[in-house]
Amino acid sequence: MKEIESEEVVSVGSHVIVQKLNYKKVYRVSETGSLVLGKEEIKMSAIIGKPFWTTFKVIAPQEKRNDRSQKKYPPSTLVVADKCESLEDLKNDVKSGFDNRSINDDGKSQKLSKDDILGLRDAGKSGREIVISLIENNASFREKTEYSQEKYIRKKEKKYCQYLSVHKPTLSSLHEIYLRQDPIKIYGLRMDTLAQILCYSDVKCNGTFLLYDSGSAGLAAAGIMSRIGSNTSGNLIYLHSGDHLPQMPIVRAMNFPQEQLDRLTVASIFDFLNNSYKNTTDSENSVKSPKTFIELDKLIMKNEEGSTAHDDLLLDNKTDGCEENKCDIANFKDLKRKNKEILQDSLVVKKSRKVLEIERAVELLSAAKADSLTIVAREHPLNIVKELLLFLKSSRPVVIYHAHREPLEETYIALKQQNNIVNLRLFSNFLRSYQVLADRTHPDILTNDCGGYILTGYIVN
Amino acid sequence: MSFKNNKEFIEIGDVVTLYINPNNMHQIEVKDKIVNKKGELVDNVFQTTYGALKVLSLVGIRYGSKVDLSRGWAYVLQPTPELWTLTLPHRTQIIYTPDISLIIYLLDLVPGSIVIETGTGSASLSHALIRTVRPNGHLHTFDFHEQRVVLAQEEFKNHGIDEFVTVKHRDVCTEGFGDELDDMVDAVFLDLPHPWLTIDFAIKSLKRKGGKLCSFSPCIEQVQRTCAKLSSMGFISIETYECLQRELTVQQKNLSVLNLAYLRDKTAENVTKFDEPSKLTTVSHPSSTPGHTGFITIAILPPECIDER
Repeated sequence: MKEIESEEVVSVGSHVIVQKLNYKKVYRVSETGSLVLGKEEIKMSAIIGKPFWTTFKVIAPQEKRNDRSQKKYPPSTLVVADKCESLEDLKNDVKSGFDNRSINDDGKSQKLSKDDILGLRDAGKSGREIVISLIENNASFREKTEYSQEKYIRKKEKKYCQYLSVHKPTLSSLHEIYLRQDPIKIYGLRMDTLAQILCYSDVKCNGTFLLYDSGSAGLAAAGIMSRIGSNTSGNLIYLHSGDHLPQMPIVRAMNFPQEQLDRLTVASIFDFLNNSYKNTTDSENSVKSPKTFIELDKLIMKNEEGSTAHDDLLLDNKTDGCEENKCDIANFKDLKRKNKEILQDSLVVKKSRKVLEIERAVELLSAAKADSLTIVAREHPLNIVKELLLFLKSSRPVVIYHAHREPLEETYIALKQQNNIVNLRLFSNFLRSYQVLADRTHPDILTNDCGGYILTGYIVN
Repeated sequence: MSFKNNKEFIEIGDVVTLYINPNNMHQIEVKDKIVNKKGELVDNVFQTTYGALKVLSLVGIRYGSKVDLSRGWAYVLQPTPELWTLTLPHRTQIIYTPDISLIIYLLDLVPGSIVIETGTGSASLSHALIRTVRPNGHLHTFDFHEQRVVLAQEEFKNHGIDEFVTVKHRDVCTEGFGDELDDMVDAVFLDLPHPWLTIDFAIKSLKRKGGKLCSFSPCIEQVQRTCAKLSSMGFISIETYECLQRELTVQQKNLSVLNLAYLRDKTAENVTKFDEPSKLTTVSHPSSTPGHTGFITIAILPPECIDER
């Protein structure tokens, strides 16, 4: 046996994937942590220091088990198991029928009552033993076809399985968990769409990659970071539209080393553009607290929308500003600069981590433009792509994902008119999975038809 | 060096993508002279449907620039593996980007991964695999066709990525991947007529900590035999997918609007048969589109199965 590398064992502070049959869950390892899996709470400390792929048996506590009135059982514990016991062989000793002509759904097949079954569980019987009793006491099991018996056993296995295993998180496994549990959180990004975004964006170990993402729980950033890799030279600039740092649980769950995380720079798109266009006379004022910028952004936006102004200062600006071009960033900036100059005396100059991140993003892209631009937007992507294209190297790809087709149609037309993008293509994808079994191969009955749309092209001079 | 670093200007020795329109792209090697059909060394002039291009005139031009052809113009792009897939010289059928991206994703490839690919074919997938696993990973690619191996090797060298790939001429179905790869690789990709014949060898090559195997087959019978073999050898989470990209053509249309309501009202005067046309932005679907490429089967080999072998 080869010596186990340290990265191949479960360590405190890292994230792991806990798998029970086909059900997976993300868990952050701590000394005393526990995980709720179905109705069960499980003390997880036994997994620390064990290699990935280890199988554990869930041991229910003996005490208090007889008192079924108690809603919540005390937490279960884990012990290392040799191997997950398989129930596949159970049908081998049993005869099977040819078809279902003699099986009636009268609810009388199972001779054991609910209490009998719970009794077996409380008596500490293993999942295998319980399923054996269920089969023995099921009057119609022998009449079922071989396939139907298999299905029955799989269903019961799911219910009485006492084994779980621990795995290293990967982009594909994390995606699978999020898509099943909370597809809205990851913006419904299907795996084939995510895979194509990463390929068309030409993400690789070297280069500076620019991402705008308004909320995929860090999925897009985690994907790009994983393709940039550890101990490489690539950088990711992740722009968002929020006031605060976006939630990135998927980035955290990837267990990237610190060296790699240091090459992820997160900033608000407003702060980033603001600081990128600061002119020289402005620079001596040093960086303002970004919170103030955002507040100003909001005020100005409200102002531009024509709502009642909050004070004289903003009213003045409104008359100064060009009303015809409400979206015009240049005017927007002028307004902001004026506001800033007026307000600067009252500002406390302090460089927070957030400010450092903004400065780093600006610095990275002023040294050399980005090697690709990826946009995963819930908003209309047109204004975002128009501004961010200015930060993209010539001949490099831009990739825009949207859940809806219409915003991408509009973006397509606008970019065509801009005349600086070639091979501009809009497409969607069809994905389906298959059941592959001898003589019973067919596409799965259900498939996810929410793949969204991708618009991609290459910028030229 | 065209595939290693993103460059600003075209240099001698680069491979350049010449973009005329989405259906008319070429790849050109930037060099002074080429050998013509008669075996003579002549000036490198590239012929397109819009006239000729003196290839040497590209040197020093910025990537992404517009260049003049004798009867039109084109853009010069630095090739990405995606552009390469669209323009490469076909020696076999190739795998396209929708399938390539899914294969790389499902195999969990990242920089540093060691991966086996067989067969090399026209090296369409190989370029994308190399991009993903470099700088510290490696691609071992095998083909039983000697000339393809030689040509792929030359291409990797010309593209500046030969240090990340080893190309071998071998029939892996009978000879396996070689003892030197035992316990070495993170992932195995199979694009073979009989993929099930190589699965024993794949298990030998996968690392002791386990790994992933992906097989691409156009026919469902191949998938069935492969899945049966994978399952019998202890592979788990065996899944088969099919992915098709649907191209959409954006169109702006004016729809005529018939004015009919006035016919009920006999007193109305000066009415026209048509109202203002309705402006519509929509997409059209191609009348013919790929309906099938291949089935992608992905499976995990857990570590205990490797210990048992």
